[in-house]
Amino acid sequence: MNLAHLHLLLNHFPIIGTIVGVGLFLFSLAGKNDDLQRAGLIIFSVMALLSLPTFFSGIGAQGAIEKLPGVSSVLIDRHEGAATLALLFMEITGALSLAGLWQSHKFSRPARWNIVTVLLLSLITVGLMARVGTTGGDVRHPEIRAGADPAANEGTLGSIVHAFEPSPDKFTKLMTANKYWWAFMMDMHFIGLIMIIGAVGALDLRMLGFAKALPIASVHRLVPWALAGFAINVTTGVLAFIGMPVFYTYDVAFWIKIFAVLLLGLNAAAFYLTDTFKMVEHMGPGEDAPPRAKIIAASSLVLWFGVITLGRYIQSYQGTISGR
Amino acid sequence: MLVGANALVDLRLLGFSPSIPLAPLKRFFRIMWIGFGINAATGVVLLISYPTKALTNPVFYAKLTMIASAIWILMKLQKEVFGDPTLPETDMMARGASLAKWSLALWVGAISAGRLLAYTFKYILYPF
Repeated sequence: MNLAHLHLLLNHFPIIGTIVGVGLFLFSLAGKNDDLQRAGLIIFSVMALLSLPTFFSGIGAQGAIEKLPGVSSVLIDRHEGAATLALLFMEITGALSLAGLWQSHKFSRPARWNIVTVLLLSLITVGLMARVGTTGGDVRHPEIRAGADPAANEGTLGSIVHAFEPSPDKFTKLMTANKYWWAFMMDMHFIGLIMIIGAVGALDLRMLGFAKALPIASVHRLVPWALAGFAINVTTGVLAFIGMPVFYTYDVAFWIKIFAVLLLGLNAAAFYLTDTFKMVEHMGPGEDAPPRAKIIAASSLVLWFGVITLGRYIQSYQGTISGR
Repeated sequence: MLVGANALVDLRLLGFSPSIPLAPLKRFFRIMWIGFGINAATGVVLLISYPTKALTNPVFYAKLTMIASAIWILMKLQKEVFGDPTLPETDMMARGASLAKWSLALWVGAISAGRLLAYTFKYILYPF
């Protein structure tokens, strides 16, 4: 498997997933079904996470085909610009969905503003994702192209959306134009990391039996700090990738790190979507968490330290993946 | 291990997440000291490997000053706020609030200086 293959494997998830999420969300509003609504929010969060490797693998897919006959760099750039705009809306939708899930945990249901905003943004995301799919199909499927040059034959709506899509090359240059801007992004990436590890690490350690005098419910209230840190790190991480796409794409440490982040998503699902969370949620001082909660806590600690370590190895492992 | 745990204690002292009991957070000081030990040891190794890179950069001295001050505050927190187990939470917060603010500011400063070090050095090795 190469990066082009990975891109093709992943690229259907954000498109179809957000459509399924919007469907569940609309049905939940029509039927006033809180479980369906939560399912919709969970799907948006998962899609926001999966969109990251989908986006990142695009540069590798470009590298694999750009020198083949009949491949147009204009079409690839159009697809990349569309993907960048769609990713922005997808990540904001995902972040607000996580906020809604937190609200439904704390106040039994998401706030009204949250539901309205998520609905609106997810509808825009579905539209933008459809455009990413179409422009992506145009790159490699001449049989579905609208005319000889689809970029020039766009409809009115397509041209309007295109005006908001960043030009990939200009965006890349903008991120690396000033070394202090780059240092600032890296700095924020570290600070976001500390917010995550401070909050998640404390919760994990408590579940493993450290500082047992702390009630788990109160330590769990730190989770919004971790979510805020994760939002900072997704933002700065994506901007860094856009700044040096080739550097990250052909780096084995980068991909293992992203894989570890996805595994952390799975670990969080194992915690919150099974009854494990309900078992530990109300544990008071001195109470011992069940073994499966300890396994999840240990996995989380190991994976987060893996993510940190792999992040430090990205610099040394550049160019470890061939294909360009 | 050092900054994450210290920030947690600082924020709690400043009144965030008031449902977390303060006294048991004392256990986290051990984690902070282990973290500091690792960072000090690996930092010294890095300094020995690239002495010119660090010592010719004023940012390096700013970073060390901020770390030293943050560690001094950490020791004060441990002794003055968490040292007396009979102290009620309100007194712990009253004593710790300004220390906590300084601690957070110094750690953010030290981390930023550390990141800046990777981009502002003049020489990696001694220029022959």
